[in-house]
Amino acid sequence: MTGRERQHAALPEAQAGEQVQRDDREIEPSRDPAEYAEPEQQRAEFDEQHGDMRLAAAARCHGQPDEPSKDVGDLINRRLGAHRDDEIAGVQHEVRRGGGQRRALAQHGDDRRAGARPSLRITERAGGVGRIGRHGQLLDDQPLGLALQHGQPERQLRGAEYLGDGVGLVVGELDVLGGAVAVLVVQDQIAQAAAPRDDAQAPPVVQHDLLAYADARQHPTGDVHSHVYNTTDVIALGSLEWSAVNGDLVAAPVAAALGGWDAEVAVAPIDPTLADTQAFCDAYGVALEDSANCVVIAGRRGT
Amino acid sequence: MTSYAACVVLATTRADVNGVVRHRLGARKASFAPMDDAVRLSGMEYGGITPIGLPADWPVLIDAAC
Repeated sequence: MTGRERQHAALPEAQAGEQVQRDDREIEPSRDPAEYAEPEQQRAEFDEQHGDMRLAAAARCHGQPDEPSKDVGDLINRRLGAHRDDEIAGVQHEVRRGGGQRRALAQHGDDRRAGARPSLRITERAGGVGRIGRHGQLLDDQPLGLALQHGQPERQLRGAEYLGDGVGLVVGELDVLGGAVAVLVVQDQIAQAAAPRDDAQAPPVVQHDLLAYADARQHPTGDVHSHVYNTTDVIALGSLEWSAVNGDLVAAPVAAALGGWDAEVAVAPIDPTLADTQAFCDAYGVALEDSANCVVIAGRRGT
Repeated sequence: MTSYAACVVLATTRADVNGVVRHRLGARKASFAPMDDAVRLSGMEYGGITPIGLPADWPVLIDAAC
């Protein structure tokens, strides 16, 4: 395909994210569902692992009623991999018929410390936005603002990114809790989970101004985080190494077109000889579905 | 007279150059631009042409699936 070009050199954040893929892959549950049967028990679980949890994430997903959202766990794993050494080992998923929103709670554990198996739990909720209890449990139907009152997260968040259709991930910390927090922004709703962390092992907090878009392609949620943030340390796509826009990596017309918008754009150097998409994806570990081509077309009118 | 446009499609799909794209451009004939033309006119490097910063008169057609 002559002239087939690739778009990876500069991706606006909204396009860099992946589509949320909803499939039926079975993912090994990391915990017995019964362990989460009762909120009190769940809270006890969190208490017990107080020192082990490194990160928690919550998601509220709007999907087809019967369509599993296990992929959210994958997304979290892949994205958090950019921040943390350890990963969410498994995903526990629960889907009930009858609609409602799903919420995922990812418990990001530190296996080295207690052998705890991190888990992601997705349950259906009737509605409302959850807030986060002191030990990371989700409290139903509380406005998000209550969670934010714990600290000044907009000054401490470590990064944010657009994951796919209406889903974004924000990772940060709440100072009062002394813990890490990850937020999945799903459509116009935000849910949060917080977890205590081990201070000695916690990575340094990157002091970025953050932008938490309800929909990254449209508008920021002004009452939450209104700052433009730097995406360059949160985008993870294969082995591509993202950095801020600079003149070495983008052509002059691109830099000019970006203008003041470049705070939301990250670029990654690529091997220009990898013109074939499959070769490109193989070289950088990028899924074909995550890639887009920019094709230049010549049209002729008249004779 | 030759006009140019950019199409952004997922790597798992292919642009319907002679159908959708050609109609959209109102062109009698449409094909992939020769690499030399694409590079020279866009001012970008082959393999690194992005829809951002293309000549202002180039329509950019983006598949909604992107």
